[in-house]
Amino acid sequence: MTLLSLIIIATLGASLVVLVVTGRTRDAALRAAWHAEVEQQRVALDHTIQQLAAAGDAATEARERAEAANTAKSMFLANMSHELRTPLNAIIGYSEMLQEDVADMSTDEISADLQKVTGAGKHLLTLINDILDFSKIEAGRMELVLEPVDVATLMRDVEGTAAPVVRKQDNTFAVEVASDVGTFTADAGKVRQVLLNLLSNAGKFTTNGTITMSARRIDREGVAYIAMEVEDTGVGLTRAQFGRLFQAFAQADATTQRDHGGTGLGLALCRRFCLMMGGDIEVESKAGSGSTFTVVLPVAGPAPDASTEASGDNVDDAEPINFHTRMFQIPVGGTPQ
Amino acid sequence: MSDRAPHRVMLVDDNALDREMLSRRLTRRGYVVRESGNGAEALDLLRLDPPDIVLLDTSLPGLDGLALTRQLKADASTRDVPVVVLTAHALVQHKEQALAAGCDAFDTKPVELARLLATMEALLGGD
Repeated sequence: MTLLSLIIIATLGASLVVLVVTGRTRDAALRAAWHAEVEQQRVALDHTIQQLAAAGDAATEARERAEAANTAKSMFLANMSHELRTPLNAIIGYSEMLQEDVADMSTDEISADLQKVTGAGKHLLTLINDILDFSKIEAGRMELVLEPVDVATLMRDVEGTAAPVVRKQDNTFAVEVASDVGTFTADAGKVRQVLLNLLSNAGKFTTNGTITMSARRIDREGVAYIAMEVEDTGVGLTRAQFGRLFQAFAQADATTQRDHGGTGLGLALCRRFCLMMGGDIEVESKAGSGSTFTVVLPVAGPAPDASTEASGDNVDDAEPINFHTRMFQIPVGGTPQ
Repeated sequence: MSDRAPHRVMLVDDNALDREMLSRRLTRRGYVVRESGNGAEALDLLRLDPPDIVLLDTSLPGLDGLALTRQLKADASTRDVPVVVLTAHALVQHKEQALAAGCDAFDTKPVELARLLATMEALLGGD
């Protein structure tokens, strides 16, 4: 080894020491800065955690308050239902009994007046039941009882119940069931309720006309549906009335209640039931020449996730699902009222 | 219902108006109706002389309707008497509670007479 190489090695070694020492110093500075940064982040994180915990407590408290309010609301509705039913039992029961009495004595006027009392009592009862159904849907507690439903049997049953109401104002009642209509999966009680409601409306808004109920199997984009139609030749709907049709508590116009009764909940409830069962209601109407309401429900029943509860969403605003709505036909010329 | 002895109904309801109304309407249709407005008193009467069918309100003084149903169904002498719970408590849970207590049928107030009569006749076996 030469002297030169020794010198080179020594120089290199010294430079290295210098480099390492310089590096250590820089490292320590970086570490201090890093510690400071970490500490700052830790404090910020602590703060965030505290905020989260506070928000969590507030959320829990809010949820508890909401649950308590909901329980109170359910209890109020249950109590109200009971409190209203009790006097109604006497009103309906005694007036029916008096109708039997006066029918024997053939005092027509008294009988007719008593019938009004009974009618008012029954109307109030329908309202109570509709309000309860509504509140159950809003709370997501309305449950469907899904089962295979034979369409022809259902139609016969509905026809039998609805016939007196439909024929009341000198109307003809026709029922047409396609021979191949078969069965579908649905809540029979709710479908029945929907059809009875549509028929009762058709009967109210039609005088000396024809009300036709029909059922057939249809196919839409490869999906099988049962279409149940209630068609009348009654007063029909104006565009403005059409827009409010499925809104809760809204009736066609202010005089509707006076002239035709009804709670203003029926159609909104019908539509909610149909949406829950995976279908919808379609309407076609022309002021002055009648309306057609079509209940369209999937043969296979609702999709599994939608089967047990309705969402709290406001279905008044919901677009009909799975299929297009038929366009409302604007009446030509004046709108007879 | 003309060829046989009239069915004997025990009507238990603390609401005097409801009791009188239904009692009269059933009597008009050929039933023999006995009434009570108190659950405990009704239980004594029912044990002493079981009727063909019991119509029972749920909120009763003395012994409430569901407790009364349980007692009737636990006792060999009254077990076979059909019990119809008839109440203004009309929610699903009320029906479930009544059926769990052992009643044979559940119906709501206001009374829909045709429906109630059909229920009663079905339980009485239509003889």
